[in-house]
Amino acid sequence: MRESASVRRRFSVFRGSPTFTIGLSFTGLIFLVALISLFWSPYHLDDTSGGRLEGPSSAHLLGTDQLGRDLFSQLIAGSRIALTVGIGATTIALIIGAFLGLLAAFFPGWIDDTLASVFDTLIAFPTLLLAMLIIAAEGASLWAAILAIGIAASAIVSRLTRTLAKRILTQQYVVAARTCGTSRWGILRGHVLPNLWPTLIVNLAIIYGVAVLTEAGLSYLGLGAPPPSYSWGRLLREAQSTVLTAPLGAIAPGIAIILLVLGMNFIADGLRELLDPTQRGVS
Amino acid sequence: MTDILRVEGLSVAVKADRSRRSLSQPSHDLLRDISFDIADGERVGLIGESGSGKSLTALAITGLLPRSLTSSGNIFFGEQEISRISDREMQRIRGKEIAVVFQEPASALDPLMKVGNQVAEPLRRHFGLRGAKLRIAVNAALEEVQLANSRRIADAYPHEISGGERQRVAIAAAIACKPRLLITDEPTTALDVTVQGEILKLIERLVSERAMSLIFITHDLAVVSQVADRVLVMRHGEFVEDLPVEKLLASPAHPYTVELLRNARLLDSALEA
Repeated sequence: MRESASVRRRFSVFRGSPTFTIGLSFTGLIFLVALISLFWSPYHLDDTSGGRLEGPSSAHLLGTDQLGRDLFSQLIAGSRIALTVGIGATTIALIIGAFLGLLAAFFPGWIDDTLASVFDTLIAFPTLLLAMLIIAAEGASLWAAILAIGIAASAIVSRLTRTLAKRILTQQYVVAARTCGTSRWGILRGHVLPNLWPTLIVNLAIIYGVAVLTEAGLSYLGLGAPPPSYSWGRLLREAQSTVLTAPLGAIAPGIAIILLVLGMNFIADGLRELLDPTQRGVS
Repeated sequence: MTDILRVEGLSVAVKADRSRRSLSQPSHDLLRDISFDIADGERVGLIGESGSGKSLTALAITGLLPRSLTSSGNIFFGEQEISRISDREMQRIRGKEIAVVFQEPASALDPLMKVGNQVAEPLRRHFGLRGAKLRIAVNAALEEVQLANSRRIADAYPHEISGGERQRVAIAAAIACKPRLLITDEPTTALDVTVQGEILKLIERLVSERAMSLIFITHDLAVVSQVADRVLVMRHGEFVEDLPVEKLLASPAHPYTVELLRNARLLDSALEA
């Protein structure tokens, strides 16, 4: 009986937020495509057997590019890069950002003052610009792009974490826990992190979308993963010159980017609704 | 009777801010040289208007003043001087020897933590209880504060129980480790009148059963005369009166106390009329 109740509760998550469900199906679709692309692709990526700039056909679902390569195969391969960049950059942003943000919140004084001004300065630069600066120093590669976007986004996570943690630390329940003899470490684990998490995870979902978008931007500018890897941004760049004769070359990766970024934003919105503790268990 | 708490010349002031130092503002005193002692098992009411420094006194005793404030003076808990000891040492006293119940139970409980875990925290910390033993102790603490369905309550989040239940939970967490001194900071102000009465009775019973000392902070004269043996009247960060509760009602000395009493009676008669 107990199990069925918990199963029902798990599924009620989807009923609780249609936005979340839509977001999950968008991202899930791309995730599935990326998984499949690991084992199977309609054509080999170097296969130039198709005619140049062919339109969609049963042989080439989305047509071919200037060199006669299958566009659909490239698009599928690109999903892996987009997902990797999203996961990698968000993880880096979370690790660096949460650590520095909590450090600032727990040590008011010069540590906090210094970190806060660093965060504010970094946030003043657009993520793309910051990432370009880092790549200019590192050289263009997929990992450089992930690292650059992660570091650039970590400023956002730091500032958010710092603000939230500071607010939580002034809450009455933290003072009450302190009067019960709870240590600072206990406060961090028992009260700050659980209360921080819902807002943070929502923002991480948004940052994931931003990371995907930024990587596409970098690749479009030629600063992303160099060939032979197929980033959606690079597909856009290559389709640029033939956008009037073969518009699908630009539209398809564009839609793929939109699907993933929108999906993550929907997930963020859905999580916001679902993680509100006062909504939990309300049917 | 021996003193359980002795406060000598406690002053609290706003720390001169680095950025504002140049303005050479005189530091603003929040508590001015207050001294008092509390005997073992004594119940002391701390009364005064908002901003008179009642809650600040409680925070200073537990060593939890905000960083922006500085304090001076000595606080002895039993034989131990506690105003200068490290936070780590103070953690061993907080919750175990001195416990606090706050005004607003809704905000004094973490909204994302199950009520049972919040009561368990001090028990885990000070007595090292784990697993089944901890659960039993939590249930015992919840039953002690007359929460009938302790299992259900322990498993609930704060928003799932009523205001009165929340305050009982907060009391249960405070007394779980059997502290010798209980500080209650307006514990009934946020509750409606019938629940207020029950909570007061509960605090009274627990204090007398366990022979705890009590500092009862309030601005309500009627409440203080019900629970306290002795009353300290505070105003603008100073004590203006320190006398047994019968005397307070019969022959107050300080004009401020007289005024307080007069207003309380005026209000009563206005309500009755």
